[in-house]
Amino acid sequence: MSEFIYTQKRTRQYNGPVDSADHNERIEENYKDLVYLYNKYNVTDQKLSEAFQRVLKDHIFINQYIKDMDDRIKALESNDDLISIHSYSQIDNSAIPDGEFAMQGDEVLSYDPIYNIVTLPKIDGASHSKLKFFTGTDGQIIPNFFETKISNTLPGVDVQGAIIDGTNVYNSILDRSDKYWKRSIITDTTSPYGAQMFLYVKVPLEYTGSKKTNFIKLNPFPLFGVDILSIEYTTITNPTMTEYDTWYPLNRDRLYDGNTDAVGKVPPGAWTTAGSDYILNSGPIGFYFQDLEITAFRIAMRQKNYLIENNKKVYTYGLSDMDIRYDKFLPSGRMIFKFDAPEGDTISSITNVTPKIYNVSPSLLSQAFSYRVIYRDGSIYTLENPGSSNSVWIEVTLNQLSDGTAPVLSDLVVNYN
Amino acid sequence: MAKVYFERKRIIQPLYQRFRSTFRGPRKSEYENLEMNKILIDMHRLDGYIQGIDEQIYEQQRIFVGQLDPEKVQIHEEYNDGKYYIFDDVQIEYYSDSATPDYLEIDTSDTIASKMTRLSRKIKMLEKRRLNG
Repeated sequence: MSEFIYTQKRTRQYNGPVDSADHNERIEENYKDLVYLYNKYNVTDQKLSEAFQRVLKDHIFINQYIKDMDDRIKALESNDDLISIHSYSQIDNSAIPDGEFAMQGDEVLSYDPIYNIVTLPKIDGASHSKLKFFTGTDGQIIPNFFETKISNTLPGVDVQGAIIDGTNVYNSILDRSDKYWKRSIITDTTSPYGAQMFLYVKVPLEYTGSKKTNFIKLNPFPLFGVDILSIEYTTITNPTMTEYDTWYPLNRDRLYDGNTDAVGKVPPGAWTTAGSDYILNSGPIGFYFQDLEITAFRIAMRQKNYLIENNKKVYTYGLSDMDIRYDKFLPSGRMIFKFDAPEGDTISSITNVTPKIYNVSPSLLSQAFSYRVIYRDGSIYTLENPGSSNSVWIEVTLNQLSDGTAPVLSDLVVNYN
Repeated sequence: MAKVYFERKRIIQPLYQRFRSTFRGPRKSEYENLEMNKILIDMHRLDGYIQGIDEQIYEQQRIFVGQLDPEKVQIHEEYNDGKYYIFDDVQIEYYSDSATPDYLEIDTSDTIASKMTRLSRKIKMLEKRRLNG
């Protein structure tokens, strides 16, 4: 609204002769106000367009820069005779339409480019979210059984009595870009621990079809600004969503304990050396795990950085997206990736193919993963190496484990000569 | 075809007109009613415009955050020697040393984050290889 308004309150009391001057004055004031408001609208519209143009152009060139970085990493890899998956445009299932390598639609592995996940073919009809519900008329709804709790008992500035500004946690499950959950701690002091909290999320059994859960995804807010310290679960009936429930780390088998390559690819908070698997400055993360009858999750989050606003320190953290799901998969699936030799180079032979799979124990990798290298000899696709190729295709097969785990392939590192 | 950015930039002005009244003898309601109607129309227009801005903010933000509507990415037109793109009313002229792409790829925060995460992992892998000789 305008900082000033011309229109004055003038009480009418017609009782006898009336004066038009007062009436005309009001009309004049109304007109000025309308002109002011219209001008304000025009200015706001212009400002919005200019801001949009700026962000749009910035984004386009940020994207170009990421592509440039990608090219440089490819060049570095080629120095080491390595190639890997840089883009999902390398998925080339239709390259070989006939013969033994040809694929049927339902056997193709599913992939999610946001979470860098390639996994078994998903059966959409039997897969469902535990938190996100939609109706035909109202769109997405927040079910009345959606229940969360925040515990700020950890050391740091997010403690009882702290000044908090933020939005409700349910914003993190709404699929609207203008809805996100944020929790800002406004304080005069700082702490080496930053702001830390536990977020408890109940996994509702109502209307969700299955008691099983096998996927959790989190998009921290701000992106690359929040540390995810642990993800734990409980299976007790009617959890109190407190520390008194029995909590297990989601990476209960301590997969890849101590392997720094696995940080960010295994759920944090489980490894022997406390803190060594924290996901610092986390981007979007998603974890598939064995089928479990989970009743609640507990997620520890930390914001170590603050911004200064009005001479106060403001620690902000939260989530822009969250989901807990049960996804049903086919027991096996295939996918073909195309790998091009670096410019000016050819591939004589593939010496090794290493899958980056972190939700399967190393001892079970051979059950979960297998591959074949396909070469092109003229117009024929073959397993026989013709000697020198500009491109090779690697057919990946993933198999479900006996405990229901769907292996997640996050990268494929190919060594070549 | 997409709208050209500058077509939309019209200055919107009030419909409201001022009719000066002089009250002598019987008052005529004609002008007062017309004035009232126009002020009401103006109020509704302003309300609509403000709601429009609200929606515009959401729509424009949606391009950078969350899921992108893919059909908006591929709008492109031939323009002189190069190409120009009209993206949600914003005209972008784009020239580069290499061939101009057929469409502009606009990433959302999530896809940028995903690509950065992937790149960061690859850098880490290469660093580790260097470290281990």
